[in-house]
Amino acid sequence: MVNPLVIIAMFLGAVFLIALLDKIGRSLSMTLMFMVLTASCIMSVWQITQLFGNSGAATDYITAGFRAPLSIVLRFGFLEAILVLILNLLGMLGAIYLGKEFCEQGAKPIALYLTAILGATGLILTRDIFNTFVFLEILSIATYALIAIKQDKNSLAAGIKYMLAGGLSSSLFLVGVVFAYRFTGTLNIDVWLGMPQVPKAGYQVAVFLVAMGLFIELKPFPANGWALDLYQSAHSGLGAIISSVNTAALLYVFYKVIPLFSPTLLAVITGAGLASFILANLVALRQQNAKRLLGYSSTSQTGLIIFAMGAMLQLKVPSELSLMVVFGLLITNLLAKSGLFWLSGIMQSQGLKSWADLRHSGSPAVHFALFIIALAALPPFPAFFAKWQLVQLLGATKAWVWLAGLLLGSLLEIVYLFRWLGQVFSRENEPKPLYIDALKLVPLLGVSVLLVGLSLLLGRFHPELDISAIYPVLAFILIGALDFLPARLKGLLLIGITGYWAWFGLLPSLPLMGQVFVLILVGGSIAQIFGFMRYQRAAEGMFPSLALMVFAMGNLVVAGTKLEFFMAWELMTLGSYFLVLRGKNGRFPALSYMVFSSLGAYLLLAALAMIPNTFKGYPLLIQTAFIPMGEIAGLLALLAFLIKLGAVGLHYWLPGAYSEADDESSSILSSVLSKAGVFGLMLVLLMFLGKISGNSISMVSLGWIGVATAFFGALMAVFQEDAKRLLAYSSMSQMGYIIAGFSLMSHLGWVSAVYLAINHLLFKALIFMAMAGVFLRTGTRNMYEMGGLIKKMPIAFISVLMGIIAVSGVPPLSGFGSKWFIYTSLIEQGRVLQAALAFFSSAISFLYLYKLIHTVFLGQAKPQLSNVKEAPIWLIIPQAIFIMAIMAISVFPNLITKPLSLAVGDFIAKPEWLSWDGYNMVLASPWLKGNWNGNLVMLVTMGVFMTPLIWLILVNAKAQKVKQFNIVYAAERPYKPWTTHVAYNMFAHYDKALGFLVKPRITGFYNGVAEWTHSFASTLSRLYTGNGQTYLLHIFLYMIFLYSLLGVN
Amino acid sequence: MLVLIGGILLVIIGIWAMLARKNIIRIVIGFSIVDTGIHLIIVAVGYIQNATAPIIDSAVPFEKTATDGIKLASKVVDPVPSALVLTAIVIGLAVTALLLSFTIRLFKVNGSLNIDDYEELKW
Repeated sequence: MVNPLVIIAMFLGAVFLIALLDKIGRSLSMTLMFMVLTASCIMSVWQITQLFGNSGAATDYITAGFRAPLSIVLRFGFLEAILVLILNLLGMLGAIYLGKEFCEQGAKPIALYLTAILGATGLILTRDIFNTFVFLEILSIATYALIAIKQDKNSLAAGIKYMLAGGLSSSLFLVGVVFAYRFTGTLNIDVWLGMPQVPKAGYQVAVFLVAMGLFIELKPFPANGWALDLYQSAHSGLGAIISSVNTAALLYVFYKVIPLFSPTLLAVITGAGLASFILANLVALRQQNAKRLLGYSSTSQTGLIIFAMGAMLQLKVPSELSLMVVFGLLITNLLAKSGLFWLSGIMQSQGLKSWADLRHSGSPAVHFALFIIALAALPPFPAFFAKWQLVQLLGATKAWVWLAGLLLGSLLEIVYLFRWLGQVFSRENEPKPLYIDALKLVPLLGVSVLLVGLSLLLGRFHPELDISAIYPVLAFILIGALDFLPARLKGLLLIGITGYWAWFGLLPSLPLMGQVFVLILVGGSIAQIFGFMRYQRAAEGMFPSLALMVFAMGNLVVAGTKLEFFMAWELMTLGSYFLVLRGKNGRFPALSYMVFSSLGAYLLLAALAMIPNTFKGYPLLIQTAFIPMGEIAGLLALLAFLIKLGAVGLHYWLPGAYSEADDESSSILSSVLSKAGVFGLMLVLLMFLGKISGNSISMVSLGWIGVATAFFGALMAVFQEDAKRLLAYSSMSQMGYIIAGFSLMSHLGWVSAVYLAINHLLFKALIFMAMAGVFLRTGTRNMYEMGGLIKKMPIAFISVLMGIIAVSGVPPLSGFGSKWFIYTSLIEQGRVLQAALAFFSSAISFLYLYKLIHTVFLGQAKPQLSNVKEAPIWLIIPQAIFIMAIMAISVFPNLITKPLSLAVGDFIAKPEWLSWDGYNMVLASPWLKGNWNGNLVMLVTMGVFMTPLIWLILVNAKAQKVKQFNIVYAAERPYKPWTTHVAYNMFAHYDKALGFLVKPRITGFYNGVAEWTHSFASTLSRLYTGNGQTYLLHIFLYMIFLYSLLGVN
Repeated sequence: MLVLIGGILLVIIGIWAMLARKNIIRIVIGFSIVDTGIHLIIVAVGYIQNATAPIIDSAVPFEKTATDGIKLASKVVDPVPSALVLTAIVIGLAVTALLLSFTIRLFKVNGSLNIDDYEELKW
């Protein structure tokens, strides 16, 4: 056991010694500093190990030989030791970062730096409130003085603002302490805590002042202008220390005194914390200066932590649990925020756009992504688990308003964090070379290693997680570490490990329906990974993201606990986000994809908080029957999955995300990833089986959403010039049919929905892969710039032809079966109008499919495309796989319908009137009779197709062959020749008739929301006038405002 | 009581100076006045009417008991606030000195003491 006085004495001694040693040599003083920091780390580790063996040991240390109320007591327990360790570690990394400044400026900054760390350490240790004040001032004064290591106008002015505000808040604190002493007669926090509440107004005011003193030091919105200016102008190394070490120490002090607060004060502070979280994130939306942005983020994170502390105290959450939450949020913020500040010191300019220079810098780019994702509380970082726990607690106690506020703030945070991430990684911005001092990389590496290590430990030992939950992260790290290898090698490796895992890990543990979805999600991905192998070189960043996404999708199906499911969901989103961002124009689509996905994820999170815990080790699929889900939870979850499916009204992100990614990624996103939404939708509906029938208003409305999505998706696809956007809208339209199928809540409806899901995977991947080859060879995506490619790329033509026959739902290919099922089941349940609209949408889909095949492959060949050749083999392999699959299930539909019927039969029994007779599906319901024999249909169609074909071949000999330009032009050459191309604005006449239906209203709506939010943010940010006195006024007004909320007389 | 009121008055005057004066030196003086006011308040809190100084000598009769150590027979002023105020004075001095040194640096760099001239960082 270590007496903490030793640490304090050691620091103090070193501070005085440094001034002497520095006269002998700079290296001596520097060495002493590192020795002291290392020693205090070692002592905390020693203390931790000692306490592990002996949890009952006394951890309070008295000073001056007196007992508690008479002397200052220091506590060096488990928690304190961990915090001291972290602060000193950060202090050490920060000292390395500041090494150059220390070397140049000598003893003074070194001594001040050590003093600051001493102050923070003391704040953690002391249990005496006046002693807290002393350490607070030691920390503050040392920090104030350290500002002067950068002596420019802004830094000095910000220093004065900071000192005035800090001085003011510590004065408040002091007055509060003295008055509280008057009422309690002691300065010891533990004695205070043991005393009953003093029912006097004066005491309440005293506690209020203590609280405010600390709270203002923690920079709450809007009383934080001084801190923002400081963060923006001070040396990055100092910014890192203030935002991590100072904040952590102060937060711990806050944690110590928060149990003293009266219930109203606690409520006010909790609310103020939440408001600070939301509003600081809001104002940050408009911020273009990276360091100031970090300042806002710091304020918001501190607000969040205070909110978490207060809320959990009010909800009487056991202290171990609330400590875990607070610690998870705190540690992520400390490490990521200091890392980002350090990075900002490496950058030449603080404009967010210029951060693109990081992209080719190697490891700093990786660190940056890591910090941003950690700050956004995405898995696998500690903040994710903390936020998850917090949301579960708020949900369990029905604290809906708080929950909503928390999620709103988190969403705003996502927007600016990922906008920043996009600026760095998007290929839109050209990076300039960056000079990086190698020494400054050490602290970055340090915090990254700490963050990742901690995350993996947490993921591994979290009681609600199976080890498999971190597989996606491990796969990401593995492939990421090998990212320098050529694409083909990585592709093979990825196919190998996913295949192995799916076959031996996933499939055996799942019911039939789960196996079907593993086949769709993982199997469908594996088939398409071949397409990714076409790259000659490394294709950096592509395979790790792909690995993350594919593994996460597999995890989604086997997830047993709520947390496993949600973690897989978020990891999947993250992986796909990076795939979109990798596209040439992917910056904005990726951002809107992320924002909408996060909105969905937060709705899902709220829904999950409303249902009880599920069991680990059993896939959710077999647990659904036992999960009682309320209607509101169901609605939220449904909305979440509808966003993923791109249902009409929620599809803002869809065309961009599906079309602006790299071509292979687009294929996998629209054919496979969308099925994750299908899986989620099915899970939710499973929980309502037997409770809500297919004829209820809710399900009929869902059906309408489905067919409306099918209709509008198809209509919007018709008017696209860009083939990828066309295909993206086509995907949306197909998802509509699936939604409609599920909404029937009947055996046939579900069979048809899953059948369509499989079909859509096959034909959409087929078309996308074929078109990827076309885009690669022609270098354009505009259909009117192509034409006559049938001779140049026959394989692509055949693939697209097969694909569009399958999409359009005409015999003989499998698409017919799936469409027929949908219509049948809709009509069977009396939804005739929905069936009609679905049918009409299918008719519309003919239009865009015709446009696709006609304008790209048929018609006049373009001279500039004369030397186009067939796509590389890597794009043809997946096409071959999918063509074979389509043929197989077209000729023998029962290969798939029977297992699907069995799989659905596990949940909804097969009705009597439906039977599978050999290759024949027989319907004999009172509503509808009929049968479908896929085999026979295929034979008949083949016959019908072959007869004219043979005849054409026979008569072909007689045909007169002409050259392409064997025509006569007359009159003038048009000014814009492409506008006369048949494919250009091909369906103008339909546009006149139906175009009013697809005016971009939804897009306009969301753009409006975004613009309005940003202007509001901009207005709010005018609060920060830059005037020191205004900032002081803010502090006073804020205090008065909070006091008036208290309602104390 | 008079001391307490005086302290509060000083705090108010100081705050007014901090908010209303434009010269940074005057703002610092305002801060210093606030500080002094707070020190007065602290001392006033510990003061007990008609009590003597908390020094155990012949003026303060006391008796030793077995359990509580020393028991005082007459009233003394609470010594703790007086001890606290000493620390607070030192800290206040340090902050004021630092503020003034920053002001001087700022004046050397930019040649102005008007706080309105330092609004470059905002929004």
